[in-house]
Amino acid sequence: MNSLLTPGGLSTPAPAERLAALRILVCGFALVYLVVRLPHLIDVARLADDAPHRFSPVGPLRVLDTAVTPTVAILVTVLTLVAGVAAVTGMWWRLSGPAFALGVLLVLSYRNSWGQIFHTENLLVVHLLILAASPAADAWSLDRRVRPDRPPPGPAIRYGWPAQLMVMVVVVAYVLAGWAKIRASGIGWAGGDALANLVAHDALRKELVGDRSSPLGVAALRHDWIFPPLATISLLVELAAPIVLLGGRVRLAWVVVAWFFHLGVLLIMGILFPYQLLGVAFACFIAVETIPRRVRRRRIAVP
Amino acid sequence: MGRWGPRLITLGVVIALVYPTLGDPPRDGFPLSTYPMFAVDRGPVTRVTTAVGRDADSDRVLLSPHLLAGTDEPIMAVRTARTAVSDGRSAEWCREVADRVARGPARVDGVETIEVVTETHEAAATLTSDAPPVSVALHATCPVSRR
Repeated sequence: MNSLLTPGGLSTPAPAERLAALRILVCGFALVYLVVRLPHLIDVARLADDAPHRFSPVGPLRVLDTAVTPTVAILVTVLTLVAGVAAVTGMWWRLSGPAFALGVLLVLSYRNSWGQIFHTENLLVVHLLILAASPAADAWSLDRRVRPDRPPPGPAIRYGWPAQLMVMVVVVAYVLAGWAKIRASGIGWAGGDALANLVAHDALRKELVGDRSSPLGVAALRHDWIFPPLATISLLVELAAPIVLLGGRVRLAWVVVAWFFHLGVLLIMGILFPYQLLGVAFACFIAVETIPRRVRRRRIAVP
Repeated sequence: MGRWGPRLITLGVVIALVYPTLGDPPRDGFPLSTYPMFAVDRGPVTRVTTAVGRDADSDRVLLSPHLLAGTDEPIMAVRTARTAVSDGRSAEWCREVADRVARGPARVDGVETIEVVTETHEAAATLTSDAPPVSVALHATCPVSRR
């Protein structure tokens, strides 16, 4: 039986199905995310009329002096959704892949250009950009079905290294998050006081603007012995992320710990990292294309 | 592309990801971030700027992020409030909020005035034992005009 764990080298060949599976998962996640957040995105688009002075462009939108009209913002969002459907199905991938990735970049940059950058979406956008520049529709795609004369592609380096690059992006993001804590607060961040203060600060400001804070976070503040181990584990997860480059079971172990880290952030702070918690951010860490086959085998084995 | 292509591209992507952190101070952006969100120790005292409603009995009514900032994101509401006060636009933002409250849900029907305030709290004490704010600074007041 093939291993679920992928080797870590950039020059390791992989089947075309690996990038195809990542295309379906990552683009599918982004598409559903945009649909779910559509009411919020429409609210943000309307800010151009209601409070144009709040526009503070980030990322590629820094070239703009003023917000675009709500009609333009909503039109770009709708076109991005259309490109997303094509990208998930692998239709006209050379066009739909880059169009969807660029569209998501623009839509989310625009939403982040009103005074608050949301750090839950960075990995998603970078992963989409990598997939858009890769041959992610050479399998499991409508492009493939309309050209059945083409021979099925064999394993190749070009199907392996973009997934490894996606892994590298995850590793760098976690290390930067850990390094930001060390730089801003020193190694003392691991002592737990900074985390406890942060949980209290975040919960209180949410309550003062009429939102709900996490009851578990408030309960944790009554038992503050919990924060030193939580802070130490958080910092270790982030700074130790490069161990995934060793591959094998170490890689999988880090993914499991990182997933629990995000679960902890959700439970204690009420901050949802959906891309990570649904596992899509970590799909590039494994031979994700083997999962459907494994599920089928298990169904056959268990009558 | 050969064996060096993937290596060079990977190196370029890593440099691009790290680049924003090399500035002094680092400049956060999107999608290239310095990930500052949980980095700074904010200390036990929290200052939050917001707008609150007052009904006919002067009782305080908390307003939703949507009424404060036009979206459902609480942190965006916090930033909007803080920026309005720091930019000297407290009165203007107060009127924006009052307009949204006037058009808002039945829950805020009784709100007659809006106050833009900065509250200072011992955050953990407020959350765990309902301690009152250490101080409250009033920046602006405006009426809710329902037509």
